[in-house]
Amino acid sequence: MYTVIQAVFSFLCYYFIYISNSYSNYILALRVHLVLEYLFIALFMYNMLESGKAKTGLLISLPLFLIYNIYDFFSNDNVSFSNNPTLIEFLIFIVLIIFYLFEKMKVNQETPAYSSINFWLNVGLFVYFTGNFFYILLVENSATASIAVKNQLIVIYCIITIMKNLILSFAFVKNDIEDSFKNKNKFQFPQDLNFDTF
Amino acid sequence: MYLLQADSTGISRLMLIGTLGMLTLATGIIAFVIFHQRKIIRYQMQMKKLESEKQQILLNASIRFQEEERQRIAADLHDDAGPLLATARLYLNENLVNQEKAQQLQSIISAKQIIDDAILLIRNISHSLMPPTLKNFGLESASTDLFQKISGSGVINASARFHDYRERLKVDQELLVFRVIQELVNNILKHSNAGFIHLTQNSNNDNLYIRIHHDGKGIVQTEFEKLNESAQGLGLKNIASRIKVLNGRIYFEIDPSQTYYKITLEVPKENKFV
Repeated sequence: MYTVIQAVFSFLCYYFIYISNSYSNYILALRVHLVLEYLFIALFMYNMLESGKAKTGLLISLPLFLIYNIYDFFSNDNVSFSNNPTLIEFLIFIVLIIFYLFEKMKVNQETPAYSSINFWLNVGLFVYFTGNFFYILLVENSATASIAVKNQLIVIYCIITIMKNLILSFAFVKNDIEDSFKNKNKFQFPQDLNFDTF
Repeated sequence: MYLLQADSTGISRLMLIGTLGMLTLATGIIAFVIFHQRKIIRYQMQMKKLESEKQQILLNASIRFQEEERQRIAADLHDDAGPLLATARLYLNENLVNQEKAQQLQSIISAKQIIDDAILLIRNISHSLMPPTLKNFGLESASTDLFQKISGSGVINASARFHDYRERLKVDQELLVFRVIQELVNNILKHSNAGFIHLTQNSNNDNLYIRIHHDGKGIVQTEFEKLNESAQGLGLKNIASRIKVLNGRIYFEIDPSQTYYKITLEVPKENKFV
């Protein structure tokens, strides 16, 4: 679902910028995408977290984030994209993922957290949010920067995104490993031995 | 404000340092979590291993004691109680001469019968405590003997077949395996209402496998584990503890055809059991 939304909004952004040349619609699409992205990742984190307080905080943050986005959208001139909501989103998720990791450290369990798909999904998102934090912080200034700097920004963004995607893909491979870990203790008999002839 | 005033080189440097710093921080946190968890899990596993070794020693000692006690009782019953009762019968026979004939005959016949029964009973108890076939001829003979006796009752069709038992287990191991078989068979006879019960055996280089098939009402592994954890099922607990001492495994399942149940025992040939 998340991937579908990403694809739809990528197409919309491309359409608004290069086909209909409607920059304000492009900004609006980015905003809606941001809110939906926040909603999806927040729900994902909600399922991951064990602390009730953190979960409640996360739920409360949903309408607040929406309201702030609406406020930020209308208080700006719609000509440039304000990065503040994105920065807030990144900060919230960085803190929550750190909290999740420390929660995992506290819980005693037989199978390590790093053998689960959720751990690696969180790691992927963590790398993405931390790695792109400075990109989001500085991208506004890139308008006045040289082409070399702009290229550097794009290269860093691409590298981080590729890293994130690789880790997320690895998470699904890890899922198989987790299954095999679970199946390790299953009773298996040698297939070449005859037990069933009376 | 700094950002707005920064030139291209400044932004570039800030961006690089910032991104690298954040990534290092993230990697550090993830590595810390992973290594910490590995450490904790390793520690837990070590504790579990120690605990299991301790349990194993305790279990071993308790079962060994139990078996030694049984052997002692078996020897006492066989060597002492049997001859004593037989002597009592001889005395009674001698006293026949000094009493009134009809009464003498009646009482002595009754006494003789009772003593005969007692001797037989003691002999049976002795054998059930330490089956002589197992001691003298091993697991294969003892199991075959057990299944022949069951089949001989005519209630159920029972058979035992050993495919490869050239390499015998240690006597202590054989005794434990036999007790497990006995308990399983007893359970099947008592609860399953089965029409047949068959035992098969096979082995490879490392393990000995014994499988019991029956067509009655059986249990599967999850039910076994549940019963084993509950207050019920003392017999199943005995099975589990004996299997633990043997370092073996047991698996309860229903055949894919859903027509009969299978219980498979795996016993390692090389065992720490002393």
